Parts: sequence; structure tokens; C-alpha cells
Amino acid sequence: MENEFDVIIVGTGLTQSMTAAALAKAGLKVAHVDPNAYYGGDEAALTLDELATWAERHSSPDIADQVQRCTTYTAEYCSTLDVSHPKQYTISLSPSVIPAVGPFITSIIASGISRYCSFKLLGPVSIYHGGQFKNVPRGKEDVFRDQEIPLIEKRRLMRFLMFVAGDYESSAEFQGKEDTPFQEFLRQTFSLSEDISQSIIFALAYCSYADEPTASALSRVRSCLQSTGRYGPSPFIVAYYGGSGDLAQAFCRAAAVNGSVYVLGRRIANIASRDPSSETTGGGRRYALELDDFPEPLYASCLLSSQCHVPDHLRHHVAPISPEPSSGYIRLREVARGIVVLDSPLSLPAENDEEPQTTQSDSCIMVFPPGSVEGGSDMGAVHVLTAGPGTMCTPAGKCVIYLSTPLCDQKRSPKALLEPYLAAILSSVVPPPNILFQTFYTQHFPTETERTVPVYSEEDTYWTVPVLPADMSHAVDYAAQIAEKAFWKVTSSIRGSDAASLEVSNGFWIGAVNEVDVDEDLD
Amino acid sequence: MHSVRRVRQSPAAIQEKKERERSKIAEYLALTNDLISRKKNKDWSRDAFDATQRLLEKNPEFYTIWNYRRNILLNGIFPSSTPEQINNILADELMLTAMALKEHPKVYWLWNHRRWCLQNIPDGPIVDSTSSMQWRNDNWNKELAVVEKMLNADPRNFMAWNYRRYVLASMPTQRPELAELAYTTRKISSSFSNFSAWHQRSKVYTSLWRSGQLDPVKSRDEELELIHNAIYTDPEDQSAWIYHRWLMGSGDDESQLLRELAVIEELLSEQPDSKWCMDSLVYYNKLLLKKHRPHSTELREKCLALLQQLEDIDPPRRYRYRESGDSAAPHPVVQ
Amino acid sequence: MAQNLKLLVPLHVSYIQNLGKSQDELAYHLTAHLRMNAIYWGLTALYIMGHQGALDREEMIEFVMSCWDEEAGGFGAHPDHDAHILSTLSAIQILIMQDALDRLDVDRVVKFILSLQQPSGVFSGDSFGEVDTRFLYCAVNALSLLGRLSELDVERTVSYIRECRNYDGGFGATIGAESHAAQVFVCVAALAILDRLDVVDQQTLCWWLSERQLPNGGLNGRPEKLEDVCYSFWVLSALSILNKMTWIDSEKLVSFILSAQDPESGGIADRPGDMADVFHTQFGVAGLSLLGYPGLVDLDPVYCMPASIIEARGLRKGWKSLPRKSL
Repeated sequence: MENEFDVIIVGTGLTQSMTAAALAKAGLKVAHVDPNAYYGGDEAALTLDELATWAERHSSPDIADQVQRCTTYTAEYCSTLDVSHPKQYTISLSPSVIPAVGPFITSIIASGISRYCSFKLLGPVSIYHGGQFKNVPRGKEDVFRDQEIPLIEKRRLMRFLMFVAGDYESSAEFQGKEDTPFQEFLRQTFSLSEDISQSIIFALAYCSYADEPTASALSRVRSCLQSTGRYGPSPFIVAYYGGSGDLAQAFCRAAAVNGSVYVLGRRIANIASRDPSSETTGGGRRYALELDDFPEPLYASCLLSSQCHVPDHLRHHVAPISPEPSSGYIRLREVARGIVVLDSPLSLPAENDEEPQTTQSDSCIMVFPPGSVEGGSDMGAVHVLTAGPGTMCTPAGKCVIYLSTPLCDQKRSPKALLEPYLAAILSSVVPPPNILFQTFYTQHFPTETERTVPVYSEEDTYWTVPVLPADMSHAVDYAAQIAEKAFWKVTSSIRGSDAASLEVSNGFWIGAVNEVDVDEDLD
Repeated sequence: MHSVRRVRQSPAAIQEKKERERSKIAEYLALTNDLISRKKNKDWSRDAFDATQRLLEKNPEFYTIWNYRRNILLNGIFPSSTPEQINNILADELMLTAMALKEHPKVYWLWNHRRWCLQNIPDGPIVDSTSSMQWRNDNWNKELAVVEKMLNADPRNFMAWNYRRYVLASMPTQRPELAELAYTTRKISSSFSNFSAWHQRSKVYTSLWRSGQLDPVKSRDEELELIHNAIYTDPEDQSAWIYHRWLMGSGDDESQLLRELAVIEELLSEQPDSKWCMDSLVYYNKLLLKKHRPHSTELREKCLALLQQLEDIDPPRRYRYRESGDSAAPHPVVQ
Repeated sequence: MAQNLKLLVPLHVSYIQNLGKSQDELAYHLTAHLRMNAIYWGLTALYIMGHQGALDREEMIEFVMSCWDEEAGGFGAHPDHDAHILSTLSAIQILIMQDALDRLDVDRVVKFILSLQQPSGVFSGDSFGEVDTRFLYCAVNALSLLGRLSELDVERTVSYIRECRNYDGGFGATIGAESHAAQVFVCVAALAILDRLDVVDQQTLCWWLSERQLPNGGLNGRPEKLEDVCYSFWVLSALSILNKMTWIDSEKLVSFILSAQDPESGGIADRPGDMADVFHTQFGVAGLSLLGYPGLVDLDPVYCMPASIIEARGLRKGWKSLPRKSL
């Protein structure tokens, strides 16, 4: 029957979309629905006018859900939209970059979605020290070239970089220090100076706080170092058209090519569950999902959903999929974010002035350690990502900058907290660009979802995926890790022990692979 | 055969390959035989010239055919060509070999043929009744760009470096040597393991100092700083250490010797297992002994202690350290 | 790396024997321009392994003579190929190893070789003029084997080599070129033949040579490059001529060379797991001989030929290899 599926996936966030693509590629019948009329859920990419509407909708706090199970937003400020061609902007609600080595890029390659997307190497990563943007050294040649690091520091930094690149987990320096605050570890074990430590903590490990645990910080530094050089000097690539939103849509497209059915923009009216043991429907279908204005329910034996789309009466029925405890993602409660559109490109100092032939990508990262800007945060780091016409995110000559920082001081509003950073960025460019549009908001993450079903069970057929962390450097890898777990849960539920015999060629992907082309800036 | 991985093939697969190759072999041998007999008959025709190209595209190492091709040009084609035509023919030759070099960057015969072509480029069109150097200049300038591309693809290709020196020395309009210094700086900054670039630097500096274009004292100090950055970044990379010995020369400048010894000592205290630190300390301390402090037992003992340590951390070369110790001993050991 | 690897002599012998029987492979024909050198490498390797009779002597001599370039007065690499100094030296070496030098028009060959010397002292490879210290070595070696060194302008020759010496003690292909282990071999061996080792900065060069050994035991040809079996010979020959064989770890090098053997089809490759070829087979075996590997025949590192043959011609120089180990 046309409305019978192996699995119904609810929500088109990056995680669900990847899972849908992988399951469809493995030959499962997938129905993918989203109450939103757009793809991407919390990772969506919006045009500028959509963003303004979005901000307006979130200008008063979302009606508080007793236990917060969904990501919510409070838009504090949004300037009036007085920008020409607002539809030529794609603005990401989850600005992120893609590590050149890791589970996400593996998924891009193995799923074949690179056919539908374009990528560009990220430009420089710079860190703000003493009122100036400085390069972040990632390897031997960077360290050699850097004219500001004292000689002894060069040796110590290299020793640290070699340590991370090696098999550090079994080393004496590391063992027993897993939970040591990272800054303390760097000082005690490698005698690294404050400046160098800050580069490592905030611009290689992309920590929000200096005292995050050493184990997770190191694993992120390693990921960053391993990624350097695969597609060029930067460890990251960026996707065109607003990043994650476009990627989520591309995974959906790949799923559709493999036969998945898509229904967007229909409210979920009801999800009914039937106990197979008491029914003799024969097909083993357990769930009936009813959509507004949709003739017949969709039936499936499994469900995969984001938390916020789980109806109350089934809340005790779902099994949340969570990352490995070792994966090292720090959960922030609230993040202050700013999205600012400028009337001219930001050109920061070139990362490597010895090789002038490589032109800079207009996507770059700026990192502000705690306490680096007067009037800013003394606790958390501010990470800034820029995007522009180079990745088709803005019309020519314009630029969008994303600022984010953990909101640890509840008394400060996102605007008050982030504006000093914005000022520091703007004043570093001559002549300073003008602001065309800006919005500041708070992103509230769900409170840690508690396991409502005591233990995982073979019998689970309804899973939820967690929201992505705020981290712009590794959120997509997180999505891929969850998607892989979800993939195996669904396939083993449908195919039983046969699932293990699937011929997996790359990560959890079945079949042929397509290498990624990273566009070069040539002009 | 360099760096070609060994793959096991089934007898059937080998047989199949042979079947596939049979017609290629016949074609190749027919082409070869045709050209060899044309060559014996001193066939200097355009037709023969084109045939050499077909064969050389299949096998750029067939030096006899390159020779034949040049002979056809010299004996058959050039005599009936205008200088402009010769220039065009040779420019085509350079284009052809540039393509082949991409695939075969270490075939001597290709580099060799380019050299011959460049040597035979006519000067240039006659302007105001004097011969301009336009053709020669154009082609030699292009040649430098070709070599740079080759060195971008493989920055250690020694044939390309040797050829680069040849091109620089032969260009009708010489480039300032400071430009070559800047080129090596770029190469080193993208990888300071590139000893070829350090080597080139030693040649360029020697010449710049000799001609008085650079102040030896100032540039030596700047160069030492560059080396310090390299050895502190990676004390195990040989390139900068070897180059350092060149820069220090015979150690006549005692204060410089002492300054460098201090820098290396400091690195050793930061990286106490560094073999190259210890080896260099022995070397420069011995220079100090020889040139400036022939009676210092303290220096001798320092060297001996370091050599003992070197024997322990670098056993493959222990006999070298032992012999070096013999020569540093207070009383020369009679062998 | 397995410590108990052995040199697979019978396998390598049959590998070399089979090389001439692969006319049904395209690669055989594409390498015709190296045929004379390949026969020299194969024959020398067989000699060192004690199987010099494994290839047909008459057939080999006939092949060599069929490569004679009557016009130039030298040997090409293959019948109808042009004379070149590389193939000319190989032809002479083969004829000497097969005791057939009487077939050679020595006067004409000497004239050909001497005609290649340039005003700077270096030699070109053929009439088209590529110059390289390799060709200089070929000339010196060949003239010495033919007993005609007296006709060489030794001073000019030595002075070119001296100009090629770098501050690291090594030598390059031409004046100004970077030191390279293969060029070190040709320059040091040429100086040894000319009894002019005083030109070598021996301490510095041996220091540089000993630093060619990498942690896996293999040798590279220049700083910060990969190891390769052929450098076993280039580096070792120079160390042996300068009597510093002990300055590297011979056991580790032996293991490295043995690990690059093809244990199924025979032959030695540039490094473990790669395709074997006769060039690396010869230089691997030559290196093992200098390292005192048991059961092998002594190799003369100056001429890269069996030591007894060089001794019989009264040409032995003062080199020292490691003592032959017993089986």
C-alpha cells in the first residue's frame, strides 16, 4: 500500500535528513514529514525577509512548555528591514562549518549529496589578542612562520601539537587528566603561555570556556589538526546557500531520489500507536500518523522524531538517542546570538602573506577569548563566522556575520553582550562598514532530556534525536554521529539480525561514494 | 621502478593483460622500425618529424628518437625556415615537452630537449634594422614559469632545481638575484624541510655577498634568526641544521659562535633528547676549541659528555660519535 | 621488519633470467633504451650472487656487439639506438665480465669518450651535450678499465668535481647543484680511480652520508627524503671508499634491503611492497655484498663490478667493506 512505510521520520533537521538519506539508500521505505513548510528545522536557512518575520515571531518568549523539550528562541532586537533584495540572502539559524575529516564529510561523500551542493574552503581563522586579529597556528609551517611567538613557545607549542596528533590517550601525560580543566592542563603539562593557550582552547578546540574538560577539548583539537590539509590549508569547508539548511535539504533530496516520500507544511494531527501483540493486522505496523488535510494516515513500524514533535501521550514511550558519553560535546543552556548584515565585505589580514597567490575566501572565523574585549564577556568566548557572496549567502559586496557566545550572565542581554565585539570587528576594517540589518536573540536549549524509558530495549520502535549543540565547528559531526546511531536502530528493528550483514562501504552508508569538489577562489 | 606498488595478479589476469597489449606492442614496434629505417636513410622530412612525435608521446625516454627529431630540425626543417618560423617551431617544441613533463617530471631527456630548444631560439624580429631579443626573452621568461610550476608540483625535484639554475644563468635578460632569494624564502616558508631551497639560498647569498648587493653581517644575522625559528619548531628536521653549518662557516667569529652555542644550549634544555642539538653543540664546540680556545679542557669534556649521550640516543651512528670523541680527547689517541 | 629474512638467491636468479623473455609485455619494449644497462645490472647481480653463468654468454656478447654505433664509435642501449656514454660504459663492463674485451675496438671507444669532455672538465652523455658528473664518472671508469687513463686531462676533470663540492661535503650533478647521494658516489668513485680523494672533505661528507640512514634502516639520497634501496649502494659505496662503513647501522640496512624483496616473483624493489626491477635488484644485492652478507661475492664499490675482476686488472683501490659473515 502506498501509505505503508518501514519508518516515518518527523522533522527535517540535519540529523533526521541524514538518517532518511541513509535509510533510503539502504532500501528502506521512508516517509519524511515536517510541520514546517521549509526544510532544516532548527538548522534552516532563511532569506532575510523570512529571518525578520522569524525574529518578530520570537520577539516574545515562546509559550513556555513546562519541561522544555524543544529549542526555543527569544529575539531581543531586530532592526527594521530596509535592505534591497532581501531574498538574495540566505541566513543560517545554525551557522556552522564542516571539518574536512570526520563523520559528516564522510556522509557527504558516501551519500552522494555533493551532487546537489557546493563547497568552499573556509578562509582564515584569527584570534583577537590585545586589540588585534592574529593568526592561529595549526601546524609546523604556521608555527615556523609566525613572527610573534617566542622561540621557546614555538617548541612547546609544537610539542603539544605533536602530542595531540599522536596516540595521546595512552600517554602518561594524559591519563588521569581527562577531567582537568583544559587551561590548567596546557599550563601544567606543556608550560604554554596564556596567549598560546587561548589560541588552542578557543580557536583549535573551539571551547566556550577555558575550563572545559581536557579529554573533550583534546579530541576536538585533534579533529582540527587532522582536517588541516585535506582540501587546503584550512581544516574546514563551508557549504553554499546558508550551510546546514541547504545540506539538510540535499540529504532529503538524496532520500527522495531513493524513494522516500516527503510531506512538508502539514501539522501533525495525531500519532496513534497500536500494540502489535494485541492486534492481528499482520503487517506489523504499529504507528499511524495523521496529518492535517491529508486523506489517509501514514503507517509505519518505526518512528524517528525530534523531541518537540512527540505528542504528550507518547512521551513515556520514546527512546532518546544520545551521543557516546566520550564524544565531548558540552551542552550549553543558553546562547546569545547576533546576525548582522554589512554593506561591504570584511577583509581581515591574510593568514599567510608569504603565499599571496591564494585569494581569501569570504567565509572566515574570528575568535574572541574571554576578557579580550572591554565590556564583553569575562567568562565565555565569542565565536564569529562570516559569509558572503563567495558562498552565495549574500548579494555581491555584502557580508553577513554571525556572533555567538554562551549566555552565562543572565543579567546581560544578547545585544549588550555582543555589541562590543561587533564594534571591535567593525573598527578593524578601514573604512568601517555600515550595518544594514541586525538581530540579536537568545537560543534556549532543551533541558537535558531525561530517559523516560528505563533502558534501551530491542523492542524500541520510537526514537528521538537530540538537538544539535551550539558549537559551530563540530555540530555537523554530532549530527552525523547521531544519524549513524539512528540508522542502526531503525535497520536492526526492521531487518533484525540481517542488518549487521549490510555491506557498508563508508560509515553507515551503503554503496558507491562521490568525492567532494571544493571550489577554489580564482580571481 | 620507483614507488609503483606491487599488486598480485592471477595468471588469468596476466594473460588477459598480455592479450590486450599485443596490438599495442605491434603498433609500437612498427612505429619504431619505421623511424629507425627513416633515420638510417637520413629522412629529414616533415612527415618523419611528425612520426617522431607520435613515438615520443608513447615513450618520452626514447633518446635516440629525440636525437633524430633534433637532426630533422637541423638538417631538414630549419634550413628552409625563416627565423620567425624557427621561433614558432621551437615554441611548439617547448609546449609539447611541457605537457610531457607534467606526466614524466623526472625524465632527463625532456629537460635536455628543452635546453636544446632554448639554445636554438633565434634572437627576435628585426626592429629598426637591429635584431631585437624579443623571442629569446619571451621564451626564457616562460621557461622560468614552467620550472616554477614543476617545483610547485614537487618542491624537491632536483632536476627541476638544477634546470632552474641553468635557466637563471642563461636568461638573456638576467633577473635580479634578490628575486631568487625571495623565491627561496617562499619555498622555505611553505616547507622548511625543503633542503633544496636552503641549498639554493646558500648559492644565492654567496653571490649576493660577493657582488656587494647585501651586507653579509646583517643578512647573516637575519638568516640565523630564520634558522632558529626552524630548529625550535622542529629540532629533528635536518635541513635547517645542515644549512646552519654553512652559515657559520669556519667559525672565525668567536662571538657569533658563542651566541649560536647559547641558542642551541637553550633549545637543548627545552628539548633534552634532541640529537641534532647535541651533534651541533659538539661540532661548534670543537670549532671553538680549534679556532679560539685550544687549551680548554672544559670544552673537551663537554664534547665528550655530549658524544657519550649521543651514542646512547642514536646507536646506529655510535661509531661516528666514538671516533669523533677520539679526536676531541685531550691527548690525541694514536690509532 | 622480520629479522629472519634471507636473500632469496634462486628466486632472484630466475627473476633476472626471465627478464629477457618478456617480449610479450609492452613495458619490455618501452624500456629498450635501458637494455644495455639492464644487462649490466642483471649480470653484475648474478655475479655477486655466484651465478654468473645463468645467462648465455655468447648471446650476451652478440647483443652487446649488435649495439655498436659505427658512426659515433660507441654503444647504444639497443641495436640501432644512438651511442651514449651510459650504455658505452655498460657495454665495456659486460665485455670485461664475460672476458670478451678482445671484441672491442678500444681505440675508437677511447676516442668517442674523450670527445665528450667539455672545456670545463665535465663530460656530456652524447653529442647533444647534456652534462652531468654521472657522465664524467662513466668516462673515468671506462678509460680506467681500458687502461687508457693516461689520455685523460686529469687536472681539468678533477677541477670540475672540486667545483661541484658543496659545503655539506657532498656533490651535485653540475656546479651549483644540491648534493645527492648518487652524485656523491660518482664523484667519490671517480676521484678514487684518479687517486685524488684529497679533494673530498671526508669528515663532513661521511657525517652527511651517515645521516642518510632513517629509523627504518633504509637510506635516503638527500635530507628529508624517503628511503630507497638504490641508495644502499650509492651511500655505501662512498662510505666504503672512505672507509667509514661502520658509521651506519649495517644490520638495520640489511633487514631493510631484504624486506624490499618480492618473495613470490623475485627481484628487489625500491621499498617494501613496491614492484621489483633489475636496477634495484642489482643495487640491493651490491649493497648486501658491501655489508658482508653471507654467501655473496665481493663487489668493488669503485667500479661496481666483482672485486676479483678489478683486482685481476690491477685496479683495486683502498676501499674497505664489512668482513664477509659466515652462513
